[in-house]
Amino acid sequence: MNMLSPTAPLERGVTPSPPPGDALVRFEGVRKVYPPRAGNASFVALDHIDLSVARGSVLGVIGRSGAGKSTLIRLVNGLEKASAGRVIVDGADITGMSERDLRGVRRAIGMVFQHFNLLSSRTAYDNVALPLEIAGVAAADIRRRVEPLLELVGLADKRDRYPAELSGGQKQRVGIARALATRPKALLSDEATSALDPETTRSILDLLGSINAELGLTILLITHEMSVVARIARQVAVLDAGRIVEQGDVYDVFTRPQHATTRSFLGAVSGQKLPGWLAGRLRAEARPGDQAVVRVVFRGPIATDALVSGLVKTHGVDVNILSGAVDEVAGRPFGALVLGLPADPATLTLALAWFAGHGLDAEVLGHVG
Amino acid sequence: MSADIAWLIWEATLDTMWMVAIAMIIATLIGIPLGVFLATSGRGELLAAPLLNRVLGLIVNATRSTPFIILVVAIIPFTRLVAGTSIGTKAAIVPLTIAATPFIARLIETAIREVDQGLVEAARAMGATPLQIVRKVLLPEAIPAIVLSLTLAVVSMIGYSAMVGAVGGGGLGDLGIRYGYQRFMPDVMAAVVIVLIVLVQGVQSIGDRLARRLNRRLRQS
Repeated sequence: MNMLSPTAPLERGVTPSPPPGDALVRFEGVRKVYPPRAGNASFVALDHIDLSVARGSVLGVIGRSGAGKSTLIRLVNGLEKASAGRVIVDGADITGMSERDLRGVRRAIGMVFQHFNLLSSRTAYDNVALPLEIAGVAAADIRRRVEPLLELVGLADKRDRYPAELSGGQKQRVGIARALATRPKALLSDEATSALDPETTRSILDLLGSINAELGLTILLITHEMSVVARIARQVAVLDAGRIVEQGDVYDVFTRPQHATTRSFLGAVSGQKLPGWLAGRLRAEARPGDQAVVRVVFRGPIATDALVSGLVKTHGVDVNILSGAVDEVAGRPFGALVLGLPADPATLTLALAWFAGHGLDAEVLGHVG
Repeated sequence: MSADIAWLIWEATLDTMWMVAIAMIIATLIGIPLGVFLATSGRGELLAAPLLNRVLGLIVNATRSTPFIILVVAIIPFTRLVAGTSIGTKAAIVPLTIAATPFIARLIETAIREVDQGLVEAARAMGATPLQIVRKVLLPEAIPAIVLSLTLAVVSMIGYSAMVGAVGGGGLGDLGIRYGYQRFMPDVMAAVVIVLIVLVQGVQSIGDRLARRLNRRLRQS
């Protein structure tokens, strides 16, 4: 139960960047402006981007569509060029690089795409071989590289299939094998699971996770799904209208979201949002006979029933469980209980103190009759 | 229909096939690279050369907008220079080639532009050079569409080849006009039309079948 001990205050808003030498990818004050086109004003896609991806880590960038995620990830391999600031990849500033030099950088970075982007005219094997052909690798070496990769992603038996004959999940596995072909240092994942069903999404994320763990590959992924970040990333940056509004350790950000955008992403998960029937009846002022609605957030493993019964037993407080959810974030349990407690100040203070004593964040949301 | 007439039709058919084949081969050899260039050299594109793109585009449009029969007559001096004569099957190949090249180039351009831009982006992300992207991504992915385009071009050229008959070009069109029309031999005219229909049908089905076999986007049965 050591998870229940009070945690140190979080430093947020401050970039928890690793020391510069330890970052594989680093954005420094990056700004991206698209020039005006066809009567439209110029568009600031990204602004004031400071972000570091530590070697061997998995960083998730979450944002709504149009927030600038795609632009951000494409800055890393120079498919997009920064208008200001620097993008440093493996110690080299790529912002001023020539197209020729950029090609070298790109060969050391793998990329997987939302719509897979496999060549329909090539088999699974030949798709994985493509980046090696492009890099000028000899045919015999290509074979030695491609076959274990197909093995790794579990598609050895599909090597001669064309993409049209594969399912979405299988296509993305080919995409991942292809991205790994040149033994890249970093993997960019552009909404890699957004076109897949939930079960396939999990298996693809698990594959990416094991690649990160076993090959030590640094992964930068962008997504609009909180569950993707929660499952695989350790660090997260929340992007809103071209700016990073919050970043840090996934568990901290998701369990104590500071920014409205982050909260909206968390949505119904983890009890961040009240059920409709409760939210509609909630009022700020207590009327006689009301219950106080209290949200108790628990971070780490905790026995919820023991918590409630403890409160009942030690203080004789009536506790009414209104809703609750338990999730796993970054491999650790996280959840929230919404409780109805007696609204009289003395009892309520007692109960809140009791939760605080157990290291739990408790918050009075309002009152219901 | 006498054996002589049948023989004439047979010879005219061979002439037509010969003219169209040679014109198509030359026009394809020039038209494919030209089409690829037109599809990739616009502003901000892979092989960006906007000025050359515009100039070539203008030439292609000018050739395409000239009615074929006018083109045949207008370039007679050039035809004589290239073929040594301005009448006959050999001479007819020159205007046919000149008409087919820009036609094929535009068809190829469309076929290349149809290739999913995501694939180009994926190849760029792998560090591919523009030429590698053309060779390894654009052309292979566009192959089914290219086959259909060339089929369409062959069918059009069979039609055009009948027109060169009007200026003594030889082939089925020439036969139809001289025997069928000027000598009032409706059976010859009918025979010419039937042979043309069979030719076009044959070319189209071969092209369709080939394109389908090459199209890996369809599940093969």
